[in-house]
Formats: sequence, C-alpha cells, structure tokens
Amino acid sequence: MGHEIASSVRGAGAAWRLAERLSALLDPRERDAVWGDVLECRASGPEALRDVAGLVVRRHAGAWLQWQPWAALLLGAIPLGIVLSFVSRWWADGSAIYLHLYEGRLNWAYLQHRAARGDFIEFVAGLLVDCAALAAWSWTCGVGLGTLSRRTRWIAAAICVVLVFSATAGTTTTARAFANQETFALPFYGTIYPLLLRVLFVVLPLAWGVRTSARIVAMRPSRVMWLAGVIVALTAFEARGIESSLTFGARILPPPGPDGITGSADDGRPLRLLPLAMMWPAVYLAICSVRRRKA
Amino acid sequence: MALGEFEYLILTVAARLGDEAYGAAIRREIAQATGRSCSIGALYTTLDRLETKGLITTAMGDPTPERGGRQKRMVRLTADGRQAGAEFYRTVIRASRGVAWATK
Repeated sequence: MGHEIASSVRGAGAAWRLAERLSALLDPRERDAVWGDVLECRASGPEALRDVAGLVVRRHAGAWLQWQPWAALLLGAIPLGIVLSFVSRWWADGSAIYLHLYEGRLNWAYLQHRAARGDFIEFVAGLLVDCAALAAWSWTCGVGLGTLSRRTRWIAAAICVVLVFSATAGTTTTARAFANQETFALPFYGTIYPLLLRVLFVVLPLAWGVRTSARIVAMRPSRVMWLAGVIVALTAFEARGIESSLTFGARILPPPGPDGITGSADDGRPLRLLPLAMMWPAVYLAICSVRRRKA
Repeated sequence: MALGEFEYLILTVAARLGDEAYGAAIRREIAQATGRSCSIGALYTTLDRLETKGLITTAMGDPTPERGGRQKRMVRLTADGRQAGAEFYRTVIRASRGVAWATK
C-alpha cells in the first residue's frame, strides 16, 4: 500500500526528479528520513522540491560557518586553480608549436637522423613529464580539498575548475607571438588543444582526487609518503616551468645552476618560492595520513 | 538555557506527541497550531541545534508503509529539554501579565 501511495504521489514530474537529484547532496540517513516525511505528507512535486532544496541549502550554508571550507577555498581552490590555469595554458601553447611542427613531417626518414631523433624524444619526454606534473598537482589538489572540508569539497572543486578555465582570460603568452601565428591560427592548436589539455590533465584528475580523498588518506602512511615524495620532487623539477608560466612566458629564465633547482650565482635570479606552493597538497596529504595512523 | 520561539514550538509539540514524535508528525502539529507550514529545512536544522544543546535526542525509527518503507527521525525530550520548555513557558506567562491580549 505504501509503495502505491508513493508512486501515485511521485508521478514523473520534473520537480520530483530534480528533488531526487538534489537529495543526493544530503547524508544518506537524513535523505531517507526526509523522503519519508515528504511521502507521508503527500507533497506535490514543487513542494517536495522546495522542501528538499531548502534543507540542502541550509546544510551546505551551515558548513561554511566552520573554518575548514574557507581554508580549502582560500589556501587551495583559489590559488591552485589560478596557478594550474597559467601552467596548463603555458605548457599547451609551448607544446602546440612543436606538435604543429611535427604534424605531417614525422616519419622514419626524419627519425633516422640522430639529432632529430634526440629532439623528438626530448620533446615527447618533456611533454609526458609536464602532463604527469599537471595531473599530479590537480589530483593532490582534489584530495586536499576533499580532506580539508568533506561537505563542501565539490563546491570548492567547482570554483577551482572555473578558475582553471578563466584565470588566464584576456591574456596571452609569448608562445603566441607573431612568429607562431600560423600554428595558433588553426582552431585545434589555438582553442581545442589547450581546452583538451586542461580537461584531461587538470579537471579529470582534480575530480578523481576529490572523489577518492577519503580512501587516499586512509592508505598506509608509507605509501602516502612515497606519493608525496614523488610529487614534491616533480614540483621542484618543474618549478622553473611554473615560474615561466606565471609571467606568460615573457621571462624565460636562464638554466639553473649546478644544483638544478634553486639556482646559483650564474642564474639571472634565484628561484622564487611561489611555484613550490604546488606541493602543499601533497605535504598536507602526508601529514593527514600520519596523524590518522597515530590516532 | 535561552530558547527561540521555533525551538520552543518543537519542544512543546514533541512533548505532546510523546512516543509518536518524529519529523512529519511534528510538522503537522506545528502547521495546525500556527496556521503556517513548517519547512523540512527549518525543522531538521532546528532539531540538530536542539540536539547539540542537549535538549532532545534523535534516533532513526522503524520504516512504515505510508512512508514508502523509509525510516523516521524519532525525537525524544531530555530532562534538560523539559526544563527549558517549562522555563520558557513560565517566562512568557510572567512577561504577559496585565497585557491586553493575555487577559482576553
């Protein structure tokens, strides 16, 4: 009898379907009780939507009274979203030039030349490392957002994604200078490729990190430390690339000194600390894992 | 302990309903008493606040057919909750002495 009442009240209205989708944002037990109340009161679709939406808004608004969501937003989503936007756009533009050069010209005859082969391998290796770095930073950013404030993790992630696509709006890079206009005049290299890079190596890893954050922090500390160590090393390796991206490529820094990272007397200037901010989610992850283990 | 008007309404209704105090029943009683509908959002967040203050306890009750087989959120007053409700009522009575609408 109860199920007949439920199906007769619910019907197939858009308001009911939207209310159902919204209720997924509630805790499972509360969702069950709320739907039971809605069905018992024989609410219409719009009434159900109003009730569920009202509770969802209150729950999520209430979460922002704590400090954790603000920390996730101000220390994570916003600064990392901006840096990821600059870095992904710079690396997309830089690699687009070479991809266009190789397009249609890459064949066995070309690769038989040792120097050409070396250039190609260096380009591919560099691109793979850049993409791995982007994915690693985005993933740890997602895990950090999910760990710092579980309830508001998707809102923080959404703000981060908006910044990834919009933080560089209205600017350009030196890669798109007059000499390379032939490349960027093509829609694929000018628009599609940068978007694709951001979606594949920033947005998807970020979402995956948010989704799996609880499981990652619960992993064995030794594994998490290993992961964090790899990401810290990757960040140090790519630090100068990050710096270049933040200056739109205008300040291509001289090669690093003997230590390869922090610079030496023959550098134009030493490395600034800002790019190293990309490693904070990995460090935070390691700290959370150790604390959880001790608890 | 300071109570708000809506908090007092929930405590009073829950006390009257006794073992039958749960979300939908409390909403119905409040709507009947006030002539205004009570939103689920306002009710559930206020229940959380009352539980944090130690004035009520809540637990998931048995599912019923008329609820599509879904559980209820049962509400029980604590001793502190009964005391807070009684104090609020006494305060309103004291403050309303001699007021025109209280003597009608």
